[in-house]
Amino acid sequence: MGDMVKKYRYAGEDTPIEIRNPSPETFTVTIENHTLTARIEPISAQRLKLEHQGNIFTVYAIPKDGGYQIFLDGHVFTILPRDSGKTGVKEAGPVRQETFGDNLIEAPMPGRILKLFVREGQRVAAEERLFILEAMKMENEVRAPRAGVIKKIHFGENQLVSLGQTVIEMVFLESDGDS
Amino acid sequence: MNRIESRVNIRSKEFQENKAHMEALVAELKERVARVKKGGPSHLHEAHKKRGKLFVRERLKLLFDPDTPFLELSPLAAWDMYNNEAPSAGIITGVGVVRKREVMVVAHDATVKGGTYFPMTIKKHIRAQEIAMQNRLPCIYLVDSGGIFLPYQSETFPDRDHFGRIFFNQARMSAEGIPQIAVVLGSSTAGGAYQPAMSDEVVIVRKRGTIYIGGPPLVKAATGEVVTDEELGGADVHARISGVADHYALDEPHAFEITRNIVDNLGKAQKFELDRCEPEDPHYDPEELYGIVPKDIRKPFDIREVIARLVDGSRFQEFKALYGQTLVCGFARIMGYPVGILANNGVLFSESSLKGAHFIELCTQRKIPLVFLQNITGFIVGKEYEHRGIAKDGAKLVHAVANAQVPKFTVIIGGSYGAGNYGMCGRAYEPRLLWMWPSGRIGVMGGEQAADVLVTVKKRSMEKKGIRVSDEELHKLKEEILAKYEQEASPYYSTARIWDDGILDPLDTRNALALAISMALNAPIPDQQYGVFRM
Amino acid sequence: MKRTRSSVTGRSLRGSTHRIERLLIANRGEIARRVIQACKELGIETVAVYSEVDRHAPHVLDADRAVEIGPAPPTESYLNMDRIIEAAKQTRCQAIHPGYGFLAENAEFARRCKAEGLIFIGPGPEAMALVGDKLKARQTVATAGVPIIPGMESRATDAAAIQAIADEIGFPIMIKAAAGGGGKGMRIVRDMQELQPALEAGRREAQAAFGDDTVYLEKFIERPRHVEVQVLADQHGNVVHLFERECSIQRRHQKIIEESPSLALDDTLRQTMGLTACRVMQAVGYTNAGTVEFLLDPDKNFYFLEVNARIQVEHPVTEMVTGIDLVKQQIRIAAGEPLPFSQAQIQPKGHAIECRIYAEDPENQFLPSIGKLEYVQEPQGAGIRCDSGIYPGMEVTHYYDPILAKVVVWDEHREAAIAKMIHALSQYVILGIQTPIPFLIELLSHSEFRKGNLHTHFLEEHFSGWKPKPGETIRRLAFLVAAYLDSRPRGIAVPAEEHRIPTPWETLGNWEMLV
Repeated sequence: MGDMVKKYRYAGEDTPIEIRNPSPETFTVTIENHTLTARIEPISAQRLKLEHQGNIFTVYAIPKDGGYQIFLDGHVFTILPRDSGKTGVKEAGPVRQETFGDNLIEAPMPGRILKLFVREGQRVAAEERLFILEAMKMENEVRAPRAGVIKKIHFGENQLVSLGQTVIEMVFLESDGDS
Repeated sequence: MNRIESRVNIRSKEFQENKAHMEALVAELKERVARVKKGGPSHLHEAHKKRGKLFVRERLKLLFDPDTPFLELSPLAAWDMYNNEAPSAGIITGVGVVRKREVMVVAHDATVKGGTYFPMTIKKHIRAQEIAMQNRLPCIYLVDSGGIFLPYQSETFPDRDHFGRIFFNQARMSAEGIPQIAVVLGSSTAGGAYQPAMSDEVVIVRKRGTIYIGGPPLVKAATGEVVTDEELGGADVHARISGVADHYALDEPHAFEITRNIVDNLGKAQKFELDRCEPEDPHYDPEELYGIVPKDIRKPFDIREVIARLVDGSRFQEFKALYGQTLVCGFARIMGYPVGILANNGVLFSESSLKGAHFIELCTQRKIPLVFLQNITGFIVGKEYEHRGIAKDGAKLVHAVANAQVPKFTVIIGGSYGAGNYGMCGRAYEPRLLWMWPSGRIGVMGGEQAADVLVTVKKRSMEKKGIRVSDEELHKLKEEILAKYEQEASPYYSTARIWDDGILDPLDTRNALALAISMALNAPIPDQQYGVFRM
Repeated sequence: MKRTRSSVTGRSLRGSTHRIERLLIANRGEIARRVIQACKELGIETVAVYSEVDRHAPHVLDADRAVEIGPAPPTESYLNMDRIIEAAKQTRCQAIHPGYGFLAENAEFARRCKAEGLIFIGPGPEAMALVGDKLKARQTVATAGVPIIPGMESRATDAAAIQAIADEIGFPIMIKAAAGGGGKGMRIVRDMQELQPALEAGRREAQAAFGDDTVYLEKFIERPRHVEVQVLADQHGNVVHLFERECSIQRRHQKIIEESPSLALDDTLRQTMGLTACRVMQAVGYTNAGTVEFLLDPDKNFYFLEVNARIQVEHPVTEMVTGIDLVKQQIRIAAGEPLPFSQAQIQPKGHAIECRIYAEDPENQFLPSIGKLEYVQEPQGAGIRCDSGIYPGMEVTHYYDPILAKVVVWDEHREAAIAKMIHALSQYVILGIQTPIPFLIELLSHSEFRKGNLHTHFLEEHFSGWKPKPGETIRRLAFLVAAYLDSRPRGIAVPAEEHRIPTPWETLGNWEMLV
């Protein structure tokens, strides 16, 4: 599953953690430019044995407030993940328009515009529905990739569009921090 | 693993409408299943009881370990066929637990035309054997059958997958070390006599069970000899004289006690080890499944909402989330078992097909079972796509699916159309089990499209002959085609013909999948081998 | 009956004029358990009382019998005299032990017990009433020649009179509730401007806490130590002291660390203060176990503060250094036995420290932290004593005193005892709520604490705005553990070889589809 970066909050600060090797027993992470490798063996439901550079700790942990309360070496840490549940699923609609700095919403496949949800000049939020394209016996929703304003709509309802034709021109607003 | 973040608004009007619709479908389904579970007409039940015999479902209770699940197969087989005279096709099949071992049971219902074989009875029997073979499940046959239902002999007797296949399968399984056990509780006549005869061990019940190649009427006709059932092929004959039976049971409960002891001596199942975790309920309420699948299956919905209500903790490690987004792929757990899920979120494009093929390779490499959630209208069509080679990309997905050696399971939750059915592990691709939801629809294409195509073809061929067809006629033709397609797309049409292993209440899906995965581990998962992918 | 015991009468309390065979404990938590232990050792049957939320509390499970006395709010249960006395009568108890807090220093309760023919384990109602009124108590002991802090004998309520008194005493001044203890109603006033608002606030608090808004003023002594002397007095006129406890480490005027002996006392001062404490108790006619509290200024002058007419939270410290079981002595004295030892026979040995573990958040001004105790593992080992009233799964509510447990250690000398306490606390795992354990560990490690430079404002001086400072590696390892737990579907799952996870065929019961 490769490296991944997760953010955790402790004592009011967010700390990014790069997880290098999430194998069941040894665990390697990079935190604040320090790479730590520990051997971890679960002992019971709330206890695990942690070995780090030859030092052995009995760690106790329980789930708390969506994160964990961890007892380690006489210290108690309440650590909360900052991106829980969000990395897995980013979009809801079945068809999402990926744009790379470009502001044209194109037909993702040939079909008929069944319904338009926006007018020119309208402000839309990221992920807001723009139109439904009927194709392949399915109604396919097309959503705004980012927040912005509808500049121009090139097709009306019930019109046929072919693949890649621009349906809507948008002006994207400031980076909305979605990612 | 990350939890899927549900965005369903359960208070929305749409959700409530979908829910009401699905509830009605499930209620209808349950009502129909309850009806067929009663077996044959009541006067035949009485006659059966008078002969001192137990109803087939009571027999199953005695056979199985108490308080264990029963994964029944195709209870609605033959629904709306044969004038509805063959509820469940007259045979109960399914996986249950005997002395802690998962076993396949094939049990005749003698209250349905004397337990005789209709074409669908044979198909159901052979399907059960196929499942037993793929998953290495010991087979227990509860025999109480008069053989082939003679009015249908031409559709039941000679072909590859007709009656003869049953004994072929028994021989093959026995050779592979998959135990074959027959319990003769009533007649076992003619071809049916081979069911016990082909088994590894046979139990027969005194004064109830009979085994013979030709019954007293046939014997009399052929040789003039007059014999009784019991003299010809009763328990005493076979247990003491012929050696066709191995265990002599005083009555039915005794027969099941013996059968359970036989299973005891089969030894422990060698289950394939998957990396298992402590099971965890889905984070989101599975009951919400009812409101998620739209009433109109043409409407889009996010398939992850379904996944979130099937998998442990609603956790899903998505693969290539940003690529080929119309096919959602990812890892999850179902009751602690790891699974790779492929689920449709729109039409299959080249990218989604490639992604699916890639993901299947990951799972087969790691020996992780595959779960397909079908809601697919097909592969994309159009000039642009043909030029880009959708055919060869689709073929890669089909190739990967066909060759995947890991256990595969398919649930048709919405549409299952065209080659989409193939790419998403339809029946022909040998998923270990395949179920439909009441909302499922199967067809080579949608009725609307089929009607348009057929009407155009008809019009052209008539025009070639110089005949003008009126719009009215064309309209009528179209209506007829639509009605036929609608009927044939129904899950009841499918399940009656055993294109699937049953229609599931969406709420049962998680349990059914978990039991199925556990069942599949009775067979080892071989190392993966693939053919040539067209690039 | 949980356990067959030899008849109680057979193992009677020698020489007692009253026979105690069954005793009701009008308290909860660790102190109720402590009393139950003493009773069991004495062969006395125990009756616990409990409120609705305490149905499964450890003190209930420890006792031989238990009676439910009402809903969670203390006024309806642990402070409900009618219900408690009724429970004692109904279960045929001869005595009631009030523990500390709740009704322990309620003279009315002591009087009612007496009237109902129940032995109240504590001083008589008259002595209790006297020491409970701090003004009267001071007047009484001052007459007996005991030094007191200047300038507080007044019940004056009008502003002018109070200002006159304040002028006479001189700032800084302390305002205190006449009826109470435990820091409630206390205020420090540094100049005349602060006086009036502080008085009002103090009165309000005193009214709320004790139902009596009388407050008094006294000279505020800078950087004093809190040193108290444990006394035992029997009903035959014998009074002994069991030396001192230093309780200078306080937060919000409540003790959190106590120790004995105090580094501030030499043998002469120790003897003087001990004898003075005995004199105080004699002056007020006190019997049973009690504590005389003194303030000790940096010049080693001591002033009488008050008498605590109860067994105290920190009594184990004295038990550890003297080897005397104070709770058992309380019961024996109440039963009429004479003290079994003379002053000369009491010899302190080694050093003991107690840390109080409250359900509170040291990072957030020690405010109560309530919730479910998800995991509890108490410290163990040679010389470590843990008196606790908690168990995993217990719900800590806002209804009661947030004390969860006390860790007490004994060793040959102070340095060793501190090391032992740090070790014990490092082993004490309480998860689910916040506790001051990490704070206490850091406090014990502080150089000024180690040197013994203690005073009652030690925490304000050295630890205000405290935040935990785990080492970098430990902090990072904690993140590592969090990431590890996140990577697993269900936190810490025990590996497969330790227990096989049953298959769905084993767990789904008689499941069948579509039924």
